[in-house]
Amino acid sequence: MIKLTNLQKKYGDFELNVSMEIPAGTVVGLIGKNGAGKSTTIKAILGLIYPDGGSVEVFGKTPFEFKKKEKEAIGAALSDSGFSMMLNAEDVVHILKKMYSDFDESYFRKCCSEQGLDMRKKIKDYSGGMKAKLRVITAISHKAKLLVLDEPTSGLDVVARNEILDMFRSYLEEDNERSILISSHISSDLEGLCDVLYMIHNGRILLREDTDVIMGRYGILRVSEERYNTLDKKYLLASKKEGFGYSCLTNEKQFYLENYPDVVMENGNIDNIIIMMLGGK
Amino acid sequence: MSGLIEKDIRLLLQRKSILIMYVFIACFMSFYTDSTFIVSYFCMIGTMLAISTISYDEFDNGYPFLMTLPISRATYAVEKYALTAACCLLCWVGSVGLQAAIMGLRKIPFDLSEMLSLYILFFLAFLIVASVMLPVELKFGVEKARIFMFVIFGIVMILTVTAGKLMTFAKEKLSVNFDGIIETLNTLPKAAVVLMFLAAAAVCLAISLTVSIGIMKKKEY
Repeated sequence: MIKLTNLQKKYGDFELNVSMEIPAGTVVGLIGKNGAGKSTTIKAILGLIYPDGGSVEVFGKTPFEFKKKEKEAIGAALSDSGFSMMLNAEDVVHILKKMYSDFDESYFRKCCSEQGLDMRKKIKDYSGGMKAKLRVITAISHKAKLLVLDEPTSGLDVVARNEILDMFRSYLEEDNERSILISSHISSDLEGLCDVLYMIHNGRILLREDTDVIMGRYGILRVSEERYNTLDKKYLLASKKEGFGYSCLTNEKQFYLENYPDVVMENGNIDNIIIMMLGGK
Repeated sequence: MSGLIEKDIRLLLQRKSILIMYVFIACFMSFYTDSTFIVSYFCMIGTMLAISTISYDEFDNGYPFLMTLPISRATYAVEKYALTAACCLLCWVGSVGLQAAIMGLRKIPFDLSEMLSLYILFFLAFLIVASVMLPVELKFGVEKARIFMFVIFGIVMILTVTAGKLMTFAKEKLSVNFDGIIETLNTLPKAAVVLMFLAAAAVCLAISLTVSIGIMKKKEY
């Protein structure tokens, strides 16, 4: 559905160079620190910026070849951009009705009602969570095949975040072929939603892994310096010096559990991996 | 494009109280000013209001999201021209009707064909102004465009004064007969003048739209 091949973009010292693929029916998470290149990648996919090199293909076309049909098949929610704050949800209904041939007005109204969005209240008077929900409802209410979401839960409390994630789950349940590309720096949001995770740092993809593999096979070893020196390091992805000795990231925790039963092993999660990959050596 | 027009009309209606106030001011003023005031005033309001929708799109970083909607960048530019022309025309029609009514109330005699040809020139003049303003607004954004427009009008003023001085110089020192030229222009039939203005407006709009589409296509969000 999406294919990026050596996508390049330069902004001063920052240089993006990423390749990734998102097949139909998958949910892909893009994680990384602020300024890592997540938004730039998403902007290139949406055709908001011109790549300096490489290629972007969505539905087999570059974003600049998109006709109305391809654009209608994409639902986008950006963290810092949406309809004018002077409009209200009722205005948005009328605009979307004319924009999208498959806009589902009753679904939009139902979602707004369930999420407690006042249809007559101006968007500027909504809370941050309400604005984010309206952006997401807008993206999912026209039967898009692909959702491209840039930090859709940024700055929201845990309840609002969960409600938004539930909306994505409902959207996915309706059609197995639907895909989502979601960027976030809130790892817990991605762990429960994504099939595949890409970690991006300084414009480069550091890791591409299935979420199940991360949760099942990745682990963090906490070992003393002596034990670290005798450790077989062939399955260690990164190590970090700590006060007690070393923390080590592995993608084969079973190997170390079986061969080194004395080491302390923590289950892998995205936060651990980010800390180790970006802070380790 | 209909979705964009729907959006802009809904944005314009946010200012309906100001619009009503403009109408009242215009009606009041038209009783005390000459007959051309109300038409030029309304055409200006219509043009400026339509162009101001760009600032709504720009405000709160709205462009990136708008460009993800099922419209092309060229369609966005075309819609702004269509909206501006439609708003200007609507205001023109309304103000001409209002002006005729007020002149009737004040029992002022008027020549309909002369009045209409003059008012058509106003309408076309505002389209030419819009054809300068729209690409500038799209290229530089509302804030920078304001400065840019001051510069443009400053240049126009300087050129006008310089041309005036050159004409005086040419008339006095080189004995060029400008009065004859002006007299010839004055004898042109009104329809010919309107057609010349129409052609000038069409050329300006065509060039301006081409430039605006180019600006939109080059932009990054």
